[in-house]
Formats: sequence, structure tokens, C-alpha cells
Amino acid sequence: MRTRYYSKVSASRSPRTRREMSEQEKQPLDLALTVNLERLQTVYTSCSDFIVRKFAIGGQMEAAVIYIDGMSDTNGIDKYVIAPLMNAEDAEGANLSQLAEKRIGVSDKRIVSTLGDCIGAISNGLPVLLRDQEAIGLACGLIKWEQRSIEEPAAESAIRGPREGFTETLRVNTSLLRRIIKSPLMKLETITLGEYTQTKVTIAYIEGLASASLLQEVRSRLGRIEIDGILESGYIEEMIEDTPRSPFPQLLSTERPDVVCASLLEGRAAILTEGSPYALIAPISLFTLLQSPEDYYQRFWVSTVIRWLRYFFAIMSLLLPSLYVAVLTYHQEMVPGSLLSSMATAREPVPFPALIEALMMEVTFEALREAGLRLPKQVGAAVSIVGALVIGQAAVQAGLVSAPMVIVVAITGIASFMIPRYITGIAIRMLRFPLIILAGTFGLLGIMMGIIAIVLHLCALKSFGMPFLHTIATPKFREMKDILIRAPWWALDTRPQLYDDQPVSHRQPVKQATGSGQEGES
Amino acid sequence: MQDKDTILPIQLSFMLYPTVMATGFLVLPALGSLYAPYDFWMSSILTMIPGAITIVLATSLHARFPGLTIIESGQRIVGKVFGKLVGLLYFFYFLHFTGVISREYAEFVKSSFLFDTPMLFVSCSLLVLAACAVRGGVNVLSKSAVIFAILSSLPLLFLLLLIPDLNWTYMLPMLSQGVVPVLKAAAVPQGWVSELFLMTFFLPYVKDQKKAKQSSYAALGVIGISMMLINLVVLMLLGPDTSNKMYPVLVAFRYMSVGGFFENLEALLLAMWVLGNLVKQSVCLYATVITFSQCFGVSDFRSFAFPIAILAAVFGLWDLPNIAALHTLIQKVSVFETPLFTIVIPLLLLLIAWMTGRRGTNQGGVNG
Repeated sequence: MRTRYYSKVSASRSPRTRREMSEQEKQPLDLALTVNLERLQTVYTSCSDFIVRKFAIGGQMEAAVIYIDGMSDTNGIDKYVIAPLMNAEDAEGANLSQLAEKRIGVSDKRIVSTLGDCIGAISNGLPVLLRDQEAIGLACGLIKWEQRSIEEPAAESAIRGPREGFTETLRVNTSLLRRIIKSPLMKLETITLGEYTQTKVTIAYIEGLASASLLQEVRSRLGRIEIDGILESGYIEEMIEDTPRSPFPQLLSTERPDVVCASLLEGRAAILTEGSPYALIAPISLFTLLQSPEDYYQRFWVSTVIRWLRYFFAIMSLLLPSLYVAVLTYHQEMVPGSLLSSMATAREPVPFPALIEALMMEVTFEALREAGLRLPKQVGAAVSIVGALVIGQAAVQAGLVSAPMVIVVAITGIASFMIPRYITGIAIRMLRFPLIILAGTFGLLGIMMGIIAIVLHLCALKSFGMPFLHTIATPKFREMKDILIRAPWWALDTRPQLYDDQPVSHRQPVKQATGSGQEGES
Repeated sequence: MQDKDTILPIQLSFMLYPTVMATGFLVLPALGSLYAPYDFWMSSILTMIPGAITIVLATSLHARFPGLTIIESGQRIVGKVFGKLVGLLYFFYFLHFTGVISREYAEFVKSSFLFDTPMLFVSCSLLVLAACAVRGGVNVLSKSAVIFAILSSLPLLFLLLLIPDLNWTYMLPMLSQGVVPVLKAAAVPQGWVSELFLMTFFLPYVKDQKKAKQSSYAALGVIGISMMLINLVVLMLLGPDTSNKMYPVLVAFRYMSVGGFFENLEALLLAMWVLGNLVKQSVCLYATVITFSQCFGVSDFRSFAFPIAILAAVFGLWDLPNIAALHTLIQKVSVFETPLFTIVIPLLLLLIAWMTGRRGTNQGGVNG
């Protein structure tokens, strides 16, 4: 763990706290230092980490530095605030801001004038300097807290592509974005959410690319959130989705800055949350969830083929077990004779109907996956041994499960892991269970009913007003090149048209640098 | 961020194609073969004429009364009382029509796949899903139609696998009995193609009317081509025996064998065909529900989707004791019934509007 210093904190609007406190907070600071300190003491009663350091400016004027232990840089306070002020000889008659200009060696200084401002600054780790006979305070940007260093994103690894992932610190995350998109047109609007946690949430977008109505909608949906605390961006995701009851995620969560930047460049908006390495991106379509950032870094042929493979296996992970059940139970004639006989031999000792067998195996697989995920790494290996040997090998030998069923379950599992977004894979895997039951009761017809219901749901689904089946169900041939295939970069010359009322926007003419350089294009 | 209900012209074609083809391609070859055993494939070309007429009627009615369906413009043309009467006729026609197609679907599923499942369950299960689509409004309807239409027309490509087994001599002798049998054979399919008139309920939502017209003609063209393809494949495979089969296309699919590995693909046909049928049923159900709400001046059509769907299922069972009765209905009654509602009445309305010079305002209440 490394420690980083950040001396700037974005301008936060006066924070909301519990309602009974809000009246008191609006009060301006008093002239008398003792009154101010008393008020703060009452607010922070029984807060053992609340520290008031009293001293005298220039040996005469009483003053105090108030901060929260562990969130502010005490060394810095001593060195740049208290020491220079105590030694100030010209303190006589000078007011706080004049003093600060001359004596306090801190780059970020802000005037706080109400009790609420004071509390907001202190809680965010900004030490506040108060002086007697002055109704304002000075918040100094001396924040210092322990934080995780930038690491490779754990859930979204890539062979080729940047290896930086977001951390829990909002400011680090925005700096990661700013390092990629240096244009000042990238805007970062910050609001505070959560009655108790006072979590900072930043909306990132590129002015001119993101549509005004989208931003309006993001702001208003975020503004409507009223919640005790936000510990993860998942809280926000659930509160601002168009259809929270849908199994499909309608916002993309990613811990990769490059994914966020690519989305911003396409005119989407991102929501970054303090304390969460996951940024949310809106609006998205189903195909966004099936795209990997690496698609755009690899050669386009490779990406295109991998995309097809991914689409195919996404469908497989939804349908394969139910198709197997349906064919075995109702449509045996569809299976070629030789295959049917080998399958029948394998199934002969199995006492269960295919439906029960499939449900049993699928549930076991889900349990194994979940168990392997939550366990400590050392025990995780044991789970996979138990899974592979006991569930796979032994169950087949004992005649409880047929070998083809194990293969089907294994392929389904692999197929669902091919979906680059873990959470999407789970959504699809969950939908598999009703489909298996439908297949076991009505055969192919039942599967079709299930598919119809899913597709109808997807057709009705929207992500921030954008149809979830954008470009396929509302055919836009211009955008197919980034859905059906991954066209080479020079051909991806238009941005996706997220909303119908948005004009088609062209990327700067992308030109392919010719290998020989004879064409003179550059 | 409430987005408006709009349909892209291309979505319109994707909605119209299964509306005609979904039930059409199963039974039409057999019915055509009854009249012209060697020449029924030619009837596909003839049926495009009434199809084109219905498109002209629907688009010119809509051009005269922009933003209005035939039910609303009917009330403007012949007055409120008669207009509502016409609307009521349409309502019962569509209700019966939806019932019949759902019965056709149920008969097919029951006779070929789910032998013991009650008919009511089979027809209701799809109608309820169609009602879900209708509840979603034109937005959901048009989007789902694109996906389902593409998936459901895939089996037609499988028919090409039969090419090695085809015997083209079955086409000979051509027109040995003259043109009359071909005309007779075209009588039944024309009823199907005139269902294109259902586009009148979707035209108000298409922004670009010119493109809407083009895409409906495109849909008609593709319908004609695929009907001819199916007829030709069935004719060259089964010959004059076609008329003895209930569902010749199903027989063709049973016949299929690819590399000795993929065999008996009829379950696949069923699966894909369900999707096309859903589009057809939801389009028809939508027409029924909209007719009902516009006829009785109800502003919210969504709450009627489920009751009318169940009512339609019942209409499909009433007075049709068996599949023979159903086919007689299709062969003898629908041939006249459908053109009456899709060609004759619209034509009369258009003529009256033309003579009285009535026109709609540019602002049309889209949702009745």
C-alpha cells in the first residue's frame, strides 16, 4: 500500500445531513471562536477521531485547527499552517484571508462561512482553521488517507490494452480519465449522495458529444436518489435503471478507464462513485454488454471472428441445456441415429428424466461457481477438485448422471464465461432455468415460448431512453459494422447514433496510414 | 426522455412479411394444388396484383387522412354513426380473423407435435404472448417483428437443400388446362396477400410515408418470391401429390437429409414458424385492439389486449369442429371475406371521400 497525497478536492456543494441537523447547519459562523468550537464539539460529540488544536497566531490572536485524525495530513498542518502562523509577527490587524495569502503554504484554500460548510470540509479530511473575532474559517487542502494503489483490473483482464484499473478513490479515477482525454471538453460534474455517507458521485461526459437530454436525464435521476448510504456504484445502478426488475443490466459497469473513455468518445455518459472501482456507463445496448475492450485493440479480423464466436456461445449458454432436454424428451427423431444410440447407452443407467438431470447438474454447477468465487484462494482449489472429480467423474460412474449431460453443462458454463461482462453472463445463466423447465414440459415449443418472452422483454427494455436492442431491432445499417463485425478503425468513421433525434456525427476523418507511405496520406 | 412511438419503414416490411407468410406457406401449396396441380406455382405472381391494390388503397387512404387509421378516417368519411358501424364490422372481422389464425396454428402444432395437449392451451399460450407484445405498443411490436421475421424465414433457406431431390419435369406440361385453373389457384392466396392491408394501422407511426410505401412494396415483392420458391420446391418434390398433403412444406422438411446427419428437421420448422406466427398474431391482435378502442373511443388500448386475446382464442374454436371445417372456411369463406374488408370497403370509403372531397387535417390523433 502506497500513500498518495492529494491536495485538491473538488468543489462540493454544501452537504446534506440528517434533517434535524440541517437547520443548525445553515447558521453562519459566530465571531467568537469559543462559540464556534462549542458548536462543533456538540456536533461531533463522542467522535474520538475529532481533533481541535488550539494555538495563538503570532502569540496573540486565538485560533484553532480542526480536523479528523487519519484523514488529514498532520505533518502538513504542523509545517504549513500552525508553525508559520504561530511565528507570524505581522498578524496584528490582518484578517484571515490576508494571513493565509502571506503565511499558509497550501495550494488549495477555501473560505467556509457556515457551520455546514465547516462540517463538510472536516468530514472530507480538510482541516479547518478558525480564528477568534472572525466569522469565517479557512479549509486547507491537506487531505491524506490510506488508499489502494492502481492495479490491474481484477474482473476485466485483457491480453492487449492498458493494465490500469480504477481504485476506490474518486480523485484517482478522474485523474485516470483526464490522463487519457486531455481535452477540457471532458466535463466532470460532482454531486453528493447519501444522507450519512455523503458519497461524492461524478458524472463524466464530453461536451458536444453527449446529448443534452441524456445528461439532463442522468442528472435528474441521480438527483432523485434518497438513500442512507452508497457503498458501491451498484446502489446507484439499481436506483437509476429504467427497468430495475429486469434480469439484464441496463448500465455497463467497468473498472477499466479505457472502456469509460471509449464510451465517452461515443457520446455516452459515465458515473463514477467514491469508494467504488466500478464506473457506470449509460446508455448501453445488449451488444455493448457482449463487446470486450480488446475487440478494438486486436486486428479486426480476429475481433470479428471472436465476436461471432461470442454471440454464438452467448446463445448457447442460454439454450444448450434446454435444447438438450427438449430433444431427448420430445424430439428424439432430430438426433441422427448413431448419435442417438450412443446417447441412449449413456443414459441407460440414469434413473432420472432428462429434465431433473439437467436441473440437478445446472444447480450444482451454479453452486460450485459461487462457492469457488467466495472462498479463500487456498480452499478454492479444493472446490474445483471436488467439482471436477466428485460431481463430474463419480456421478457419471455411479450412474446418477449421464456423461453427455456433464458435457452439456460444462459447455454451457464455458460459454457463459465467454461473455466479457461477468454480470451479463449471470443474467443469461439465470434465464436458463425457466427455459429448461419449459423445454421439459413443452419441448421445442416451450423453448420458443421462452425465447419469445425474453425477446419481447428485450424489445421493451430501454437504457436511458435508448432501445436495448438498438441497431438490430431498429435496423441502422451504418452501425452494423460495429455490431455484426468489428470494422477496421478507418471504416468506423461515424459515432453510434444513440438517440434518433441526434444527428449522425462523424469522427474526424480517420485515415489509414499506408504501409509504403507512397500515397502520402497522413 | 419519453421516446415517441415511431416505426422505421424497414420495420414495417419486417412486420408485413410474416403477417402474410406465417400461416400462408404451410397450407397454400396444398390449396393451390387442388385447382392447378401442375401450374399452381404461377398463381404466386397473380396474387401480387391484389396485394399491390391493398397497398395502394391503404397508402392513399392514409395520404388523404394523415395520421388516421381506417377506423378513424371511416368516421370522418361516412359520419360518426355509420363510421362506428363500419368500425364494429371491422372489429368482428379482425377478431374472427385473429381467432382463425390462432386456430390454424393450434391445429398445426397439435396435429404434428403436441398430440395430447389441449387446443385451447396451445392457442392461448401464443395469443397471451402476442397480447404482451400488443401491450408494449407499436414500439415493441415493430422491434420484435424484425428479430422474429429474420429468424422465422431462415427455414426457407433450408428448402434449397432439397435441390438435388427436385424433379423439374413435374412442372410439365405447362398451362395444359389453360389459364383458368391458375386463376382459381390464385383465389386463396390472394386472401392472404390482401392482409397487407393491416398496414393501415401502422402507417400513422411511420415518419417517411414515401419510404413506407416503398418498403411495403418491397415486402410484397419478397412475399411473392418466397411463395413462388415454396410452391416450386413443393411442386418439384411432390408433384401432383401435393394436394393430398395437409402441410406439404412439413413433408418437404421431413424429407430433408443433409449429409446423412441432419435429418427430420420439421421440429426446427415448427420452432421457427412459431416466431413468425407470433408476429402475425400480434399484428392482427393489435389491429383488433386498436379497432376496438377507436370504435368505442377508449383512449387506452393496452388494458384490452389480454381480454381480446382470450376472446379471439374462443372465436377460433367456435363453429369449427375440426380441421376440415377450418379448411373449408379458409377455402370458401375467407376467399371472399378478406377482400371484402381489405379491398372493397376501403375502396368504397376512398371513393366516397373522393366524391365528397373530405380530407383529414394534418394533425391526427394517433392514439385514438
